[in-house]
Amino acid sequence: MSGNTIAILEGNTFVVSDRRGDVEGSPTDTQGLFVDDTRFLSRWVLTVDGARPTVLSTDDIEYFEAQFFLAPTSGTIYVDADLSVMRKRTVARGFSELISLSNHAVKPVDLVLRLEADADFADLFEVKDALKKKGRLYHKAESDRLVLGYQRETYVRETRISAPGAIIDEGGLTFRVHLEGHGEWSTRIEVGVETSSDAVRRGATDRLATEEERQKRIAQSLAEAPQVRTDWLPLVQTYEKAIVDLAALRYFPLMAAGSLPAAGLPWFMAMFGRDSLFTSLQALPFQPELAATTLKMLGARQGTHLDPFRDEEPGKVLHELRLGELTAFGERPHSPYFGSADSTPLFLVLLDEYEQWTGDADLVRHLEQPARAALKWIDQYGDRMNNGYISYQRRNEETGLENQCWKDSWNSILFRDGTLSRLPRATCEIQGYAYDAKVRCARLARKFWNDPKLALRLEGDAADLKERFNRDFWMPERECFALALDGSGRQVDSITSNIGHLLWSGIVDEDKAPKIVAHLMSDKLFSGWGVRTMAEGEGGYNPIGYHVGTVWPHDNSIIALGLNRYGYREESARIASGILQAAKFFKYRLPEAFAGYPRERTLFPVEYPTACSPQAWATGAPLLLIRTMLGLEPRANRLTVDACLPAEMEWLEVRGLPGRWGVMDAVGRRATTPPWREEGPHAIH
Amino acid sequence: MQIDSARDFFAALAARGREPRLANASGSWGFDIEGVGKWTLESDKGALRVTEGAPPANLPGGQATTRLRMKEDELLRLLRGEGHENLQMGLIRGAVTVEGNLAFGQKLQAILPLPEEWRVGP
Repeated sequence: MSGNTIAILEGNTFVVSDRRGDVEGSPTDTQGLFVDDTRFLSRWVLTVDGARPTVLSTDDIEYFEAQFFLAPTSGTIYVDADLSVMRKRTVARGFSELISLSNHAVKPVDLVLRLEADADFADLFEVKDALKKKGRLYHKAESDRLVLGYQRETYVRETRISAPGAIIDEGGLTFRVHLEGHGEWSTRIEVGVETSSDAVRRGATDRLATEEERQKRIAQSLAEAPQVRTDWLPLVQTYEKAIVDLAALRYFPLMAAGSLPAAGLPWFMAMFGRDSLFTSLQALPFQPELAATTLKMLGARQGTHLDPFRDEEPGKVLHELRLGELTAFGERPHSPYFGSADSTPLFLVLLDEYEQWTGDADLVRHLEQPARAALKWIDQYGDRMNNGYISYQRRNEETGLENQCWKDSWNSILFRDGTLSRLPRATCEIQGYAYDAKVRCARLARKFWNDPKLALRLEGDAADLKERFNRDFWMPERECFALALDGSGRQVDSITSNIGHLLWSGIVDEDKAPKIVAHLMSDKLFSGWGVRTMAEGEGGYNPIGYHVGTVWPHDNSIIALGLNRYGYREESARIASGILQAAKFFKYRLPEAFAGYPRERTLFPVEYPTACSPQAWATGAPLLLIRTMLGLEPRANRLTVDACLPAEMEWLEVRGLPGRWGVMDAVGRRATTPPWREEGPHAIH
Repeated sequence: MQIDSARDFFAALAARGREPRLANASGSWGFDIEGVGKWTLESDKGALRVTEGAPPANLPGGQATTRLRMKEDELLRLLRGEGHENLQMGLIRGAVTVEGNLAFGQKLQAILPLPEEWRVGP
């Protein structure tokens, strides 16, 4: 989010305002009160005697609460007013706003305070694409409340605004205020949302927490989470921010039991398969219950039909689930939409990883059928080009996603000369995920599903895939894996961060690994803060291109895990260090992405203009980096620790790591520090 | 098979007896089709039983795992998949209301829309 706006959130409800607390949402602007992918308030402007006060300061106290301190404009360069205005806004389902006025003068004063209100009930997709409404907007000034509404057939959404002492008209609320000398006045305005959807309403109200409960939840999240201690304090601050943000993003999808993090503010406050899977994986050592919920939910919503509109195929794991008007009327396919080619293998990878950490065999047995269906999807529907690789091409040509890998912007899969590749596309990292999924499911089949035949077949398939992949994707002249194979069978020859995911999956032949690592750590890919999505010097490279040059913290956390897997611990620590150093510049909250400029040129990480923040998998990145720095791995029934810390840390300790071992503490110290060199890192039961 | 009404649909399910696409579903759905009638559809790993009127006494708590209420038009829309209709869309619009186990309710989607050979009219 931009520095000129203030956003507070609770699950998939959020308010974005300017620094005064005002909302002036335009058809293409994200300011407003959004609930369930719908803008319930697009205008919310405060005036005192017809003028808009000036902002003195703004503070987002908690993720769900913000305060705005204002004073009337005095007409000079100095703000020297006799009046203060304080707005304190708390988001829940809708929001509550406390407005206080203080008269600093001796004389009494009479004022007119007004709040103009309007709602366009835009679906988030309409805000993105500036579409027109098809239903009827209405305003009703009732005796004790203002109702802003929208109706289209049975779809009704209303914003209900009330405050004691307000004079209500169709355009807003007016208060006639008499303030004695040094007197104070306040009122509380309640902005509620109502819906004709019984399920949406009940789901929301059942789960609505009071302010007190939420404060408790924050305290509880921090108290219950494993405790991180280190001599490099920014890591502790980044970690604690991440734990609180994960609680803030907690979202309860319709028709599902349990919560999982929404993907990111403002565009992606919804359930996303890929994002939930990655975030759960990142958080596994710290909050394994997140993975359990994600797996159950995605398993329950797995594709059952061949439905071109939703890009749904039997066994496919969903991409995105939305609750707005366009989805409700079938004008967008997100009910749910299945346009991602990687969420299905990632579902299987997480299932195995989850069991390795937690020992929860019941869930692995419970999800046997969805897992088998997912494996079938990989070989059948996933193989669009019938060449033994997962590839994608949308069936929904109108509103489906062109790119169905994590780099899902239209121009992400480019040749070295900057030209666009043809569809279908088989991106390299998805083949890695498929390989890993097969290897891991072989273990599950043998150990939990009592199916050694399946295990053998999967191991054979995985070995075959690895051999073919190392042949077909390898570019000898560039000594690197191609980004993808395209629809004409050509290698898409750009050098990108995707190769780091290949290390994580284990699909890379040992003899090729050093070359991949050299690329990742080269100046062309590594900016000093992290690995760029595309290497500098490639035709499509743009340091502020969404997927063609920016640095994504989540991407880097996976790459660091991949480097660990192949034994490149120093390089992994270097990436962890860069990303965690960057977090300091973002008030310890890593954004979705930041610019790919070289570190030595800017000395600070440059914000990417429309990056989402908080964003789930950026929030998860520090958690996974703590795991990679400590070298935490579940092995049999034990948690093993093999730390390799970056230069800024002498020691790092995590207390209370839950898992199949019960609860364990892990301590790592820099191997180069003399007193610890001989003893080395160790784990404490 | 021609289906022109809620009654036809439940009769067809009863006649079908087993539905492989519901093999992962064990539980029951209660249907209140406004102004038309009430039915309970039970699935035991895909073995179906349909009861008209009050829910069968054997159900845990005396009621279906998930209770759905809608107009007959909406049911037919769902059966036809008209305008890409599914349960999620019906719920968001307020055309379908649901009580009980929401996640189990979603499992009904495995048979929606009905395959072409069921021919949902009119």
